[in-house]
Parts: sequence; C-alpha cells; structure tokens
Amino acid sequence: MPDANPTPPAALSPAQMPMGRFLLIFAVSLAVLFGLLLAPPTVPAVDRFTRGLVTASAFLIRLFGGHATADGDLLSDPSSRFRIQMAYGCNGAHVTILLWAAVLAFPATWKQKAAGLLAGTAAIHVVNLIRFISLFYVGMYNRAWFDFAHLYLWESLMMIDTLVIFWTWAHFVRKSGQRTDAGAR
Amino acid sequence: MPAPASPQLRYLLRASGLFILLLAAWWWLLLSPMLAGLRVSTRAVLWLLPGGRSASGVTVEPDGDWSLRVPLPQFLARQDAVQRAYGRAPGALPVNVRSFRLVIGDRVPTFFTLGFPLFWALVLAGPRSRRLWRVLAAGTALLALLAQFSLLFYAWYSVETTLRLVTSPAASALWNAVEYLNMNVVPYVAPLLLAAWLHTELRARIFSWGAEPEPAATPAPETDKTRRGKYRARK
Repeated sequence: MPDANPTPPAALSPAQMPMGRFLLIFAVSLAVLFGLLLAPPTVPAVDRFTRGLVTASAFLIRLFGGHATADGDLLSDPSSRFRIQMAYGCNGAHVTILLWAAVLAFPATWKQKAAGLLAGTAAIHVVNLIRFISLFYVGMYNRAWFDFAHLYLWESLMMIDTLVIFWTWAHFVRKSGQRTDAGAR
Repeated sequence: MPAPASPQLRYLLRASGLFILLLAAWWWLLLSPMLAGLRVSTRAVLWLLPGGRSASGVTVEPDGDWSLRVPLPQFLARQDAVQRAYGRAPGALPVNVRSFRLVIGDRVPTFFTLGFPLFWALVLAGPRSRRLWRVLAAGTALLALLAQFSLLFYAWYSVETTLRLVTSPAASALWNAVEYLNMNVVPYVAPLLLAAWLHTELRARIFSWGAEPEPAATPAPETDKTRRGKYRARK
C-alpha cells in the first residue's frame, strides 16, 4: 500500500502543540487521579504499597550494614527504638500523580507514554526511598532537623526532581519525533 | 569540575542548590516578616467578613501558636449544631454567638509560605529572561494570595469540623478531600505550576516550545533506493 502512511504518530512540533489541550488533559487527569487516591476503595491498596516501601527501606538499610526493621508502615531502629511512620502523603503518591498527569497530557504515542509512566514512576520512587531512609537517620539524631527536612526540604526537592524527570522524558519524546521525521524524509 | 552536558541535569543541580540557599534565607531571614504580613492580611480579611467589625482578630500566643477569632454570621450562629456546641440547653433562650476562637499551630501558617523559596528557585534556575523580575514579582504576589486563601480555608475547615456544620457524608468526604489537597498538595505543587506558567522561556525549554529545532541528519540525495524505502514523508 504505497499511499498509506505507516509513520508512527510522532511528538507534535511546537507550533502544533496546543497549550489549552495540554492544560485541559492535565487538569482532568490530576482531578481523576487525586480522586482515586483519596477514594475509600483505593486506601487499602495504597496502604499495602506504603508498607511495601517501608519493607524495601528496611531491606536496603540492612543490605548496607545498617539496622532497621519494618513493622507495617513503621520503620524502626532496634537498638535506639527510634521509629518513623510513612504516612499517606509520604509514599511519593502526590508527585507520581503529578508526573502521570503531565505525561498523559503531553502529545506522544501511547508506547512513549507507557515508557514515561514506568520509568518516571521508578525514578520517583528511587528518590523517595533515598528520602525516607535519609529522614530515618536524620530523625534518629535530631528531631528538629527531622521536622525541617521532612516538611520543608525533601518534599520541595521531590517536586524539582519530578519536573526534571518529566522534562527529560519530553526531551526524549521530541528527539525520537525528530528522528522519525528525519527518517521519513 | 565541568558542568554537566544535559540541560535537565544542569537545571536539577541549579534549582536544588538555589532552593537550599533560598530555604535557609527564608527560614532565618524572611519567615518572620512573611508571617507578620500574613497575620495583618488575615486580620483584615476577618474584619471584612460579616460580623467581623465587632468580633474578629488574630493574636499570637506565648508559645507561638496563632489565635484566630473567626466571626460567625448570624444564620450560622443560630444553627442547632452551633447552639449545642455553645451549651444551649433544650428550651432555653438562644446563646448569642458572634465568633469562634480557633488556635492553630505556628507550623500551619509557616507551611503556607513555603512556596516562595521553591518558586524563586525554580524561576532563577531557569533560562535567562528579560522578564525575570516581572515573573518573580507576579509569582510572589500570586503565592501571597494563595497563602492567604489556604490559611482562611484551613481556618474555616477547622471551624466547620469542630462545630460539625456539614452533616451529609458526601459533602463531608468532599470537604475532607479539599482540605487534604489544601494542606498536602497545593503548597508544593502551586510554585511548580506557577513557575511553568509565568516563566515562558522555562516552559518553552520543558515542552520544547519555541526551541530551536535540533539539526536533523543531512538528507541523502534522493535516489531510487531511498524512494523504495518503507516510510515516506507525508506531503
């Protein structure tokens, strides 16, 4: 079929990309995803996920020679009995939702979006595990520093990370679009 | 040490470094005047509310907590839930309720000013722009409005949950969800969205809008072989 155009839909050029469409899909996705996060039927699944993150944190600490045990959503140090809780908003869900909404709204193929969602989510949760483990150690030594790092420092750094993760993915989408265009020429 | 080649990594390092510096400046220098400003504006807004001229105010407790005197409009003050909360006995005359005294930890208003250093770091780490000062001023003004709105919403939510003014489960769930977003999401997300909205050069970089197209591979001379290729450009 020589007249068919088998070129996969590439990222739109700047002129083609309507900001209004992005904003609309972004806002709707944010509303739906936050609605799902806060809906009562989702809470048990989110809690299980949170407990999994705490278990992974304890495993990582032990892997590097530290001492920690996971008990539900609590990470404890057996010697000092210090423990911190991974609360509902501390599991990286908020920034993950932000990233998902942006990726879903950005013009790209579904394959590219799926790759962005998977790789972006993984990157966010790696940073979140580092954040949680660092807060565990900070909290063990100084409560005031823990509060400051927890409430003000780390959450904002996670936001910057999320923006950069999205930007990196959008950059790759655009580059692959250009390669496709160049190949098609 | 050479700068990282990736613009994204450069931005990440610049924004994170700037944020840590600005967070320190916010904590040690700017927080007190910001909280004083927020107190003045909150006092003014409460004074403007119905009934606020006779019963409203914001004071700071010795331990740093804020004490807000939130005026209650008469139609709310006469509701059964409010009257019961203020100890009206069945059959007794209505209690004259003019305001509700709410004490909030100083961490709450502090939290609502956190968006400023994050917004400044995101904007200052972005590409240079002739409009930089205008972007900073506009974003700072919008964040100040948002901080005020968030604090008033928090105050009203606290009054509502204490007096149990909302009785329907659906309305209560919605109210709780909005308050969750107000406390846990908006303070972090708003600076990011504002920076991307106001700083057009940064937005152009992130979305590749208006960016110079990267040089594509030099097109090969069109031969029979290239014409027989699988993909063909759309005319």
